[in-house]
Amino acid sequence: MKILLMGHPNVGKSVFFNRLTGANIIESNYPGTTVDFTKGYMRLEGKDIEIIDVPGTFALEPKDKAEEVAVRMLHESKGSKVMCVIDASKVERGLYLALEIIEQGFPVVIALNMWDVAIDKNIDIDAKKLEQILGIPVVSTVAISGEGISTLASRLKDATPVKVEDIVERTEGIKHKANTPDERWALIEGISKKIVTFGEYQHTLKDAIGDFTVKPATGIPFAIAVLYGFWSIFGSFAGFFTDGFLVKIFDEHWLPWLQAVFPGGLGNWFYALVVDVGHLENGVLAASDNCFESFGALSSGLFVPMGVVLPAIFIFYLMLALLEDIGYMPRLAVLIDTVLHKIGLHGYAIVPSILALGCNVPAVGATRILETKKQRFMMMTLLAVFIPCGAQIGIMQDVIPGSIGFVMLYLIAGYFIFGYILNKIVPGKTPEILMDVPPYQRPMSRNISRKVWMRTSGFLKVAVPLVIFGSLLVNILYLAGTIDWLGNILAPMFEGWFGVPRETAGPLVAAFLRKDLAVAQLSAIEMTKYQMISAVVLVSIYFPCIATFAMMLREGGKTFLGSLAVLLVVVFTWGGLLHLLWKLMGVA
Amino acid sequence: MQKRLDEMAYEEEGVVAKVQERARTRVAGMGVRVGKKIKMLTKEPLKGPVVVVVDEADISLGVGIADKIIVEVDG
Repeated sequence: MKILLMGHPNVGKSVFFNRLTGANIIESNYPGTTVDFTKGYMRLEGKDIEIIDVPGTFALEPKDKAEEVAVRMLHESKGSKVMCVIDASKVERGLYLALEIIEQGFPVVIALNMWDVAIDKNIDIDAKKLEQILGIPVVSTVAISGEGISTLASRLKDATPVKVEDIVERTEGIKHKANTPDERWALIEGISKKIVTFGEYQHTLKDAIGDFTVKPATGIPFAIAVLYGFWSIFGSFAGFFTDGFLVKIFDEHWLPWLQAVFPGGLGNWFYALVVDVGHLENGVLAASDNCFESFGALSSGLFVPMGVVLPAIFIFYLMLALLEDIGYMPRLAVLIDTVLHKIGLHGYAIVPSILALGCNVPAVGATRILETKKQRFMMMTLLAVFIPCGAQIGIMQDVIPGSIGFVMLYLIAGYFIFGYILNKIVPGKTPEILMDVPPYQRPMSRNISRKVWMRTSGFLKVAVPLVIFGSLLVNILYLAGTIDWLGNILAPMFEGWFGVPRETAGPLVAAFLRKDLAVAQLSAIEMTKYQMISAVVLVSIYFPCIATFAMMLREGGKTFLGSLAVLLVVVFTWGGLLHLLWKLMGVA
Repeated sequence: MQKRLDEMAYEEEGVVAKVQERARTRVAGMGVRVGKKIKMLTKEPLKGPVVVVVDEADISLGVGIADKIIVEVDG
């Protein structure tokens, strides 16, 4: 026997799953956190039972890829039992989904979750009577505190398939069947009259803030303030730790120590790979005095991810987790829908877009909350090409602090312009936004800390080995002369078209593995401020890093070739245009 | 008087009178159905989405869906 955990988005299914299995699943106060299903095992009466956390869905007529997954899973799981989680404060809406699942012949248990919220809202539900009418177990729960969860699990054995006709009969006063949406709703209203009494609902401060932040006159300025605040905190926090402490630790202690104790010394090829390649000073090889220029796998290779990127990633994920948990993201999506709809996406595209500012890999996965193939293709392509990840932004802040604003604006402009063009030429539909705007809630520190920890440690596990490997690889290619050879071959393109030095070839090879490493290596090449801006833009828009690559292939399948084609066009036009701009300004 | 959902004024309340076939199943799961009280919370500028309140839940609908829902309002 399998158990499917189903329900609307954002009703706390993931909390249930964590409680039942003891696993670590991220939950957020916006729909679509669980875009792929998660499997786990719960122990019940001495047996391990498979339990699946199905993506949230409002109905069994799917409207996006995440919901499609949910419906497909249900159809492939004949013989399973369904644990249907309902938001007790919105019980009617929840019953709609529950009825649809019952109609399909599945044995169902219902969890009236967020029972405490319903009480706060003066909604009184007679769970016993509901159980009688439906003929299936109904348990009131508060998943966050764990209330009712064990009762729910123990009632699973009482779940048997029931006929909707019997429910209609027990409801009394309903004459017809319940096969269409309207008939289903008529039945639910009939049930609701018998089991729910709605008391006077007091509007709270939370509701007032909710309205304030979604109405355009107040919400748009507020959104700008939030994003600006996000950006300034990000910059000052990362700068404070990187420049204030970590640069000193790496340059004044770690690098000199490595240089002193590592065997070989300047000029030795192995020493160059691992510690310091050195640089020519008046024809003499001299030691580097900072970790940006040393290029060694253990110097630059550790400094870039740990010294520069880690603080940036940490603060980014902390603030993102706060916005997610409070429930701000759906409101941002509503506010920005107008603009994004014009380029064929919809408001919800803001979620993958912002996630991409942290890391493009999960962002590509999050494109599943968009509805059509066209939207997913566009979103995947645009974010992989135009949105620099947190690691890259973190290092940009250190390497080109004065020009980072321009680089970001140039990339955002590209996102919209190419989005507009893609929308015109890519066939397919761009449906309208339709989504739930959940109420604000107080963020839970446990949830926030777990989320930040999971995402940050995920970054460290992937980034540190890749940066070290990348440093080694680029160093070997340098020593073998491959980079110079490549630079010379591509020189006409680099120097003539993009207006950047031919040495940029090295960092661009590194960019395949890690964009942060690439930008760090750029900083060691001698060039003008404008060439540097061009080079950083090139690193951003040219091939996504290998991890994003793999994810796009997995998620996009064949459309990946389309993304590649777009990417090539963008690199040549958008990269070349910048050179043209510098020429017009007389700085190139 | 009947009007389309996207024509409702701010804070205006009404009762859903008709949901066109094409939008019916899409909005049914979110609680929008004939006979239900509905309140316009806000509309985003430049033909942006509307945000309505149904059963104390805020729901956002694009104009292309909102114009398929007819609402009976007072006056």
